[in-house]
Amino acid sequence: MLLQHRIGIITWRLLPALTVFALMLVVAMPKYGLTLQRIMPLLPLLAISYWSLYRPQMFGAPTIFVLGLLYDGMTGSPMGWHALWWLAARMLLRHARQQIREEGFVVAWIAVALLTFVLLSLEWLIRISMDHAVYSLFPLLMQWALTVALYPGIHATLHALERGIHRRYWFVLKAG
Amino acid sequence: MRSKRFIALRTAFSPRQAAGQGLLLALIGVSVSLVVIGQARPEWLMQTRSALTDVSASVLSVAKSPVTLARGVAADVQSWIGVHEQNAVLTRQNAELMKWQALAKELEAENHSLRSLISVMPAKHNETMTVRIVGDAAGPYRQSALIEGGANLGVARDHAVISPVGLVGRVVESFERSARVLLLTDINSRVPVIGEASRERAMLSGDNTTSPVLDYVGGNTRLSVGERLVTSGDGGFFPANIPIGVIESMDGGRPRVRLFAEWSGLEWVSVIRRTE
Repeated sequence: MLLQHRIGIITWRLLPALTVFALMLVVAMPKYGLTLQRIMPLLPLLAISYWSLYRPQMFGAPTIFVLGLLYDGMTGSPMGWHALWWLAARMLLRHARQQIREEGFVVAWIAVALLTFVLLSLEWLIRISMDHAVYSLFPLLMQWALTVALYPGIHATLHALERGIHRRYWFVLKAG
Repeated sequence: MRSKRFIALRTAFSPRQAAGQGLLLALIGVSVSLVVIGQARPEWLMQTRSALTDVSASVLSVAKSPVTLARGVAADVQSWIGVHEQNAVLTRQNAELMKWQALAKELEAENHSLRSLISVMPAKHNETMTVRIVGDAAGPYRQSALIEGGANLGVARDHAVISPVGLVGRVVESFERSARVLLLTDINSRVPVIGEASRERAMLSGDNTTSPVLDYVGGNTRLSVGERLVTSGDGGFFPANIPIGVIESMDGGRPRVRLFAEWSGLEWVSVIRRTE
């Protein structure tokens, strides 16, 4: 097997983890001159939703768990926090995956909007009870709106990446 | 139709699917346990958390290198474009500062002689260490940042973090090669401050907005809009007289403060290492 083909197979297998990791970096890196911290959209969760819906076999729960722990280190969240939310998202999408896929993009978008709303609301309630503080709902709603608004872009980008790599290496992937 | 349903049922209850479901549930259980242990017994997870944060800081440091390089090039180009204008401004500022330097030297000498007359104990000398910011905590709950430098550089919990214009926050977690800084804007941040002109004390409390509020301000306060605030040094966490910001409004007896150090534009900060 040619080196180029090996690279193709590795890229294909790592694609979900790499894209989620890249989005984790985008969120966690300092955003010079931008005051987006409070309403930063949940970009990694969007990618996790996409891969859980369309390529779950390529993106296992252990990968989500490890990425979640690393993200906790990046953002200073309690250890296990993001792994928990992301695995919960995976579990919720798993049951409705078939129907959502069959209904098309708009239903997938609505499902992701509902999912992020449920997860953000639960997180808000848990944070309030854990921190004994009342957090404003406005940034939360802004964060949700931004996250939902960005889903089509993330969906299109990941779909294009997936199609591009598959088209280029389909013969090797089929054989492998 | 019947066979299609059978295949669907068989797929749903296949051993592989069941194993996948079991693994997912097990990992959710592990995550919940980690969160609960982290809250109840944080010291049990300290070593793992430290290793994880150090790895994250290294990854972020490498990932942000191209951004830093691009910013540097853009700043260089901008600087070259306005070099003549900048030179004129700096020459004017230099002349002005020379006058202030002469005055400062005169006051320093006078201060020194007066202190020696009344035998004042010398103030503790604090060392500063400049470190790079590598990460932001994004989200509506935490206002913190990750810096590249921890116990290896002597950075420890509760050390003050400053920028060239004022206080930024304090170190809340120090790991081997990285540390987490709680910003002044965070809901858990409390800093004792004093008005530079009125000498009235208050507590600067973060509320997750960009302008923190002042607590413990009396009804007949002498604090007013536009007054500069500095750290009071009370409690011993922060050295005294570090600039904080100015009062921008006195809404409902809870003054709001515009901070000097704007977090979003910073790339480097200094950690004040207390010498006991």
